[in-house]
Amino acid sequence: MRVPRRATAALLFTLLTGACGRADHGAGDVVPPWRPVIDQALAATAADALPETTAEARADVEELLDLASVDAANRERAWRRFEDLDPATRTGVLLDLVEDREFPDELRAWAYAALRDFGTVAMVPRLTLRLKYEKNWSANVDLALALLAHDSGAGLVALETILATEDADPAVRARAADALAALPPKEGWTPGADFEEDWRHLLEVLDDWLQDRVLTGTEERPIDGPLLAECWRVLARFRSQPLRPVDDARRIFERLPAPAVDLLLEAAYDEDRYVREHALQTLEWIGRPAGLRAERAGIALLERLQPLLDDPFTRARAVEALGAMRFPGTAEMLAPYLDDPTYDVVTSAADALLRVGGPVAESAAGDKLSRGGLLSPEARYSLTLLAFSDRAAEAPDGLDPSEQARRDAWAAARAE
Amino acid sequence: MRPDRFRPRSGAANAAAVVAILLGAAGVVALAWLLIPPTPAEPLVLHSSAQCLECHPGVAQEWQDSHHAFAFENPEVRKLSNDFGNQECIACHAPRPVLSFEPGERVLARASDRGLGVDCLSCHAHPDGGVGTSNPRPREDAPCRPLTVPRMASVEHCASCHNQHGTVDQWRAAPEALKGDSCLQCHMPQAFRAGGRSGFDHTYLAAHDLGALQSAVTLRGGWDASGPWAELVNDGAAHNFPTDERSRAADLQVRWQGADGAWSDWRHLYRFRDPYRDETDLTNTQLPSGATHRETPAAPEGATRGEVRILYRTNPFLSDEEARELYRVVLEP
Repeated sequence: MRVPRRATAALLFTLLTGACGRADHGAGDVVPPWRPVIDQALAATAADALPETTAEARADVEELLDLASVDAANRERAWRRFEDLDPATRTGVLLDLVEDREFPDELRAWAYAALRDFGTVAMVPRLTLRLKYEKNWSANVDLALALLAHDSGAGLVALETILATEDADPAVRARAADALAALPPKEGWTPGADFEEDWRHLLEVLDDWLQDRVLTGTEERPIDGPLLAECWRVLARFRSQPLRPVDDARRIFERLPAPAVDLLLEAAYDEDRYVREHALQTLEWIGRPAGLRAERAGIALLERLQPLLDDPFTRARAVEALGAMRFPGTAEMLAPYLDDPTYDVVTSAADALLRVGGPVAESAAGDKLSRGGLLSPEARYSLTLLAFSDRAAEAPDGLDPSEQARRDAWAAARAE
Repeated sequence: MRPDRFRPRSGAANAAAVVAILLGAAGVVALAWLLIPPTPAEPLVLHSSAQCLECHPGVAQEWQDSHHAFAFENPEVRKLSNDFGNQECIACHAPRPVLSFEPGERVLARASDRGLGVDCLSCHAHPDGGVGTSNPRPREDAPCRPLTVPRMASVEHCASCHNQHGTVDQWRAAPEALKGDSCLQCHMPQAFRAGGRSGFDHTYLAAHDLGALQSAVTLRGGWDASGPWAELVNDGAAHNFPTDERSRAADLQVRWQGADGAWSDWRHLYRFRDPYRDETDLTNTQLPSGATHRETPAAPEGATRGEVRILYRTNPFLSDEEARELYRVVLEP
């Protein structure tokens, strides 16, 4: 008895959903070519990765940090001995020490200073994460300097915060002001000559960094060698079921120099659906700077992500990522997804079109609203903002105020 | 002479014919019942939990009063997540349907109807388009097409969100005597609803319910030859007390009465809490299931007796006045 009844129900459902129609997305729901991207990359770059810290190496480095903490003369002595250590080994050990919660704060500060002076480019991903966890402002100055030395502006926000906080420790503010000398050079700017000029230059460099993830006046260097190996190690955290490692990895990749976007596009094809999901999500969180990177690097972003739109699991995230990156041609590609049979994909498409904007998106929004049909409050609001940009949109029933604010911010960002 | 076949039948023959006709009719009806499926209500294409309310008002009301319904709008969550500027928090506060993931796998955020928080579809929407239920005999003709999914009564179903801060792992490590079958035993007891219907309680009795909190621990205290003492025993929760990181805290406090009868202010003795990830200077002091924490506070000179109490805070920044007092015990020599 159960079988015929269920079969009947299934048939009815199939007929019903079939009658609703399905957007013609070209390729249909095919299985995209997932592959073990992360595993292959980890294997290919293993030789370049930072070595595991041995107890002996850790003891050596701890001894040098201890020596450095005695006085200036001993610090010089310690620094000379640091130069003799293998660069990859000392970088790996120093990173382990600054990440160790049990490591004494005073020595940790010296470890940051040593990373600033002796760390290799491989430290950039893990140091970027330290910006989140390190609460010592003086250490944050060293962090910013260490990152600047390797084409990363991720620490500039820390310098800005320290300098803008008038009641911060004057000695730390003085260190932050001195650190501005490490900013990329600019014609007519003499570091340290006039603090107002230094401050203005910091804000310009920071603004450029936030828009492009490229340091003003520097060339985009491809991510390769030890940095590449460390980046893949970070991306492997996307496979984690506990959220914390994922959250850390997303945070790092949001703040890495622009070429890291290329790795996210590769990871979006990993056989692990969580890696795909989080790679796309990180691209969305980076947003327009990721789209600009693709444009500069000549990456055919739309073609690159099309297979992810064909997969029901990743479709919504791919739509959102494309919308946030605002790559040319995105609106034409995403407009059909306003008729996707999945309620959540329709919302993602409406949001993505709101972020992209332009005549195609506006027209699609107007059409969808006039046709009626099922829309979430979020989708309805996004489409209304798009179609009637000349007047204030009323929030539909059930729209959370923060979701309204998020969409207002997207519309405003596009207008800028 | 009329042929025999036209001869009137006897009474017994007539009765037999009637019975035969009735039996035949009953057979036809039975055959039809067996072969023709009941006409199901038109199947719903589920997209929003609002669709569930019409047929399940009792459950809906329970859910409406629960913190699952409040998950996305809760001001405490808003504050701790920087108004969801920390977008990673959204996944569990407005999740896609849990049944779209493997048992115990972490959920991901949805884009639609976020204001509904952890809603009906979050837990019940089935990838096939109907709904999942732990009921072994669901109504097959219901428009939402319920399907028995045994994992809905398992810890794995809750783990997708509630193990992110380790609660389900704590349950796995708990003493067998405290564990019960699953999370449902304590957090979704049987509820009786209007119309004689019953089912799992969807108010999810937990950190916001005084009874649930009090059933988690026991506070003991005394004043013996070695002095005053107090113990908090986790003898009711099959996970740490308080479970969850950052957002929950419980404080043991003491105060003393002098010879003049006046009471001192409450003084902090111990905090039970798992610090958030960037509170690198703190360690996890939650009380594991089955464990006891003992304090031996020194009584000030002249104290004639004391009191200890345990306060529960849904976030660590709540004042004593905003916290819930679970128990208070007198310490007398």
